Amino acid sequence: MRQILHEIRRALLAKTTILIIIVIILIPALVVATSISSVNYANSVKAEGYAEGQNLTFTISVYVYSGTYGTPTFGETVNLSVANHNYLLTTDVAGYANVTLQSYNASEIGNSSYTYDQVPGDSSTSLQGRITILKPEENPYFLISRSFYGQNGTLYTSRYGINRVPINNEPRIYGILVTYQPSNLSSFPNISMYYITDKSGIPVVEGIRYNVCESGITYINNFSSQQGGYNYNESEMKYFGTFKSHESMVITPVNLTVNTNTSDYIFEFFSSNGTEVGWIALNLTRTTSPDVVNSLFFTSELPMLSLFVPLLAMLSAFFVFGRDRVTGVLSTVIVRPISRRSVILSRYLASVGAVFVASLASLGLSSILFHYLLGTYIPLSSILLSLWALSVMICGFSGLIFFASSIMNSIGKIIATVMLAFFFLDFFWTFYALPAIPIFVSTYLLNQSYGTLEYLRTQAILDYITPSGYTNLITYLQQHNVSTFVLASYPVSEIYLTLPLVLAAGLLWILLPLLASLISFSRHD
Amino acid sequence: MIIIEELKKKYNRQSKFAVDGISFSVNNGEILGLVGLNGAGKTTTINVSCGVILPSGGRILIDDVDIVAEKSKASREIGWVSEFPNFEPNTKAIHLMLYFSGFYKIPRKEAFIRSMDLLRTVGLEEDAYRPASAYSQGMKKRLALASALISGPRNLLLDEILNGLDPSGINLIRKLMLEWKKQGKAILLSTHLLGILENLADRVVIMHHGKIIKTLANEEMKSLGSTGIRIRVDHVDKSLEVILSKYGNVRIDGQNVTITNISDEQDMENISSDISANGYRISHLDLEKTSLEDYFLNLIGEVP
Ligand SMILES: Nc1ncnc2c1ncn2[C@@H]1O[C@H](COP(=O)(O)OP(=O)(O)OP(=O)(O)O)[C@@H](O)[C@H]1O
Ligand SMILES: [Mg+2]
Repeated sequence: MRQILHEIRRALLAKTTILIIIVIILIPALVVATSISSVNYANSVKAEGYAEGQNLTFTISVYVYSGTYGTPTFGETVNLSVANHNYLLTTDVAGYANVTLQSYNASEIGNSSYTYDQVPGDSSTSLQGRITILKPEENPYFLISRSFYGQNGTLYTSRYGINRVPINNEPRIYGILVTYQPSNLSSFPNISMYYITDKSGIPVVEGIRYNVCESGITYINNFSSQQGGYNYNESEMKYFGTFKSHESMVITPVNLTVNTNTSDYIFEFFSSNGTEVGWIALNLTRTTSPDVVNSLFFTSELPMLSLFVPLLAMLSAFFVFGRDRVTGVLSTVIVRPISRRSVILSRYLASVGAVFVASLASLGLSSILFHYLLGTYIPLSSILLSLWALSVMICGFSGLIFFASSIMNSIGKIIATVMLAFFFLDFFWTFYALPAIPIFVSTYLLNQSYGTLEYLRTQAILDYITPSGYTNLITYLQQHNVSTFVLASYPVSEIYLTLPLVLAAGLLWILLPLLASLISFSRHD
Repeated sequence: MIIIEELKKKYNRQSKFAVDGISFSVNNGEILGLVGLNGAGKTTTINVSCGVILPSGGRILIDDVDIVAEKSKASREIGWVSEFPNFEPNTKAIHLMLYFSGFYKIPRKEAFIRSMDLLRTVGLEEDAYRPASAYSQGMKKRLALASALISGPRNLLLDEILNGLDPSGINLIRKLMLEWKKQGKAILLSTHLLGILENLADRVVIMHHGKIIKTLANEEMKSLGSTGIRIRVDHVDKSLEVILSKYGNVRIDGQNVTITNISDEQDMENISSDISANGYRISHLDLEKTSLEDYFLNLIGEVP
């Protein structure tokens, strides 16, 4: 036992092993870091449409911007419909689709609407909105609108809309999206933002408590100390900054979340003469749902691990055992008071242990990275299942190379075995390069029509055949919706996909190659 | 003590036995030389004996413990120097020594002291912190010897240990071997050169094609391979024999007298002057140098 620990410690400290461990740990770090961006780009788009003018001449503008980051769109097509006439407009670099119409009256303009397809031609992704008629107004902070409601001149509405948005490259917090309707103004005014920590306990709805300014309509609460039924002292609010208004801008309150565990804030915006133009109460913490993290993990990181871990496990097996055996270095150990079985077993445990520990560290690190970047750990059940799949791969592939090393007498042959095993049992399988998989299996699979019971069964069998397939198997088990595997219509047992079966078959891959090498090495030299 | 009984070894995918039923033993306090041409089976015999490879037949007892059946136990008393020592790449000699000591449960501190001592003994003290894989061939042999001695084993199996060593190394090892012999260790030493064993080995086993063709005791070896002198004198009698016997072994055959096993080269001149001084007349004098290697080659030549 002491000798086995001794060998494991030595193998762990060998330079090649350390290199392999570093690679295994770095892979997920890179994958996680790059896959985060796919969480950021939730491609939501927002639009606001308004008209201004009089008699029969109205200028209509539809402003289309990214609801995610507040950036204007360019070249997007907006369908404007006025009194049963349709106009196709295109946004300019500032995000505006503009048109001046001269044959409709105010009521027709006031009843007109626009639609914008986020995916062109797909009406299910349509944004729709009414055109609001704005009356020319000198005050740059307030405007008179919705004259058609009969409140002409009596209702002040802020030009500002305030909302919560994700921030590019800051997946852990929300930013504040401020939109502004410049209407007939030639320049943009300044607004100042103040904040106060919110300890109120106002019910949280997805992080936003209350947002009266969303559509740009609010009653003026001039220095009021009551917002949404919650009392606080506005004189205690802290100054955050002054911003030049723009059609849309994102204020990033990153520094507020540093060094504090409070993330509930109330923000208020004031004009230059101290009039409140809007407010928002929000929880700055942004967390990604475990489902999203889970699917990121299963679709980006695990395939990478299942591609590289077998290769590294085999290389480690080669360095720890195969090379030493062929060069005679192993003899200097065999001659010591240790049985042949213990020699190979300790080297095996050392090699497998090193890669396993690296994989464990790798999963742990990526879980921490996911938490750090997205606020959510990888679910424990996914980690445990992945560890099983990784163990099957590590033991299976290491065992193959230990066995090959115990019967082959040249480094070239062992390396060739590593390459063959990598391509035929790992690489092709990971990418489902079916033609490369032994002919009879692939033809059989291709003869089944997609999604039938037989097809699914064959595909499951394919994954049982190689240790690399076990990451696919547990992905099906955990995700139930992998595109190559339509599970919906059949019970899992029908397609040989139950947890006990996956565990049992994996156990065979863990034990058989090891047994074969143990027997071969203790009986032959 | 090393006992080898009916040892056979056939390598994988080979048709011939590399070692074909040999038996001999190395007693405690004995140095046994294993001699043979390239491919005779010396290395195979040694490797099987120390458990590095597995026998195809027969058995080997190390201090009465079977090396196959009870390998870990038998290995405890084995020290092996391989024909071509090879060490783990990028590992410093001292670390290798410590690693090997781990197999004998030697406490780390003691292991370090012992390792440094041994490295000093074999002349590698200054290279202790260099990677052993970068050593020269002779240095590797020295390190292999140090690592074989780490546990102070009672049986030493040394494969061509003098190969690649410089004269000081050869002297050192001769000295060490004689010391181990005094300590009662059993030493098995393989070599191509019978001559090396002359003043060293107690017995010599000569192998050829995997079989033992001759076993020689030290005394037999001496008479075989030493310098001799052959003379013809006008008359031969008992007193001549007495005079000459103080120089070596005297053999008389008619008028021909052969003196073999002359220990001192200086005596060659003394012999002729001594003969003349005693009133004999030498009609013919002829130095005879039958080397052990000649004997060895002749012996092998006789084997079909
Ligand atoms: N690993 C091996 N595989 C196959 N055959 C081998 C192997 N090692 C040795 N042999 C064969 O076994 C026979 C004996 O070889 P061995 O190495 O024991 O000879 P040796 O007496 O040590 O020779 P040398 O003086 O050259 O060291 C030779 O015919 C050799 O070809
Ligand atoms: Mg040899």
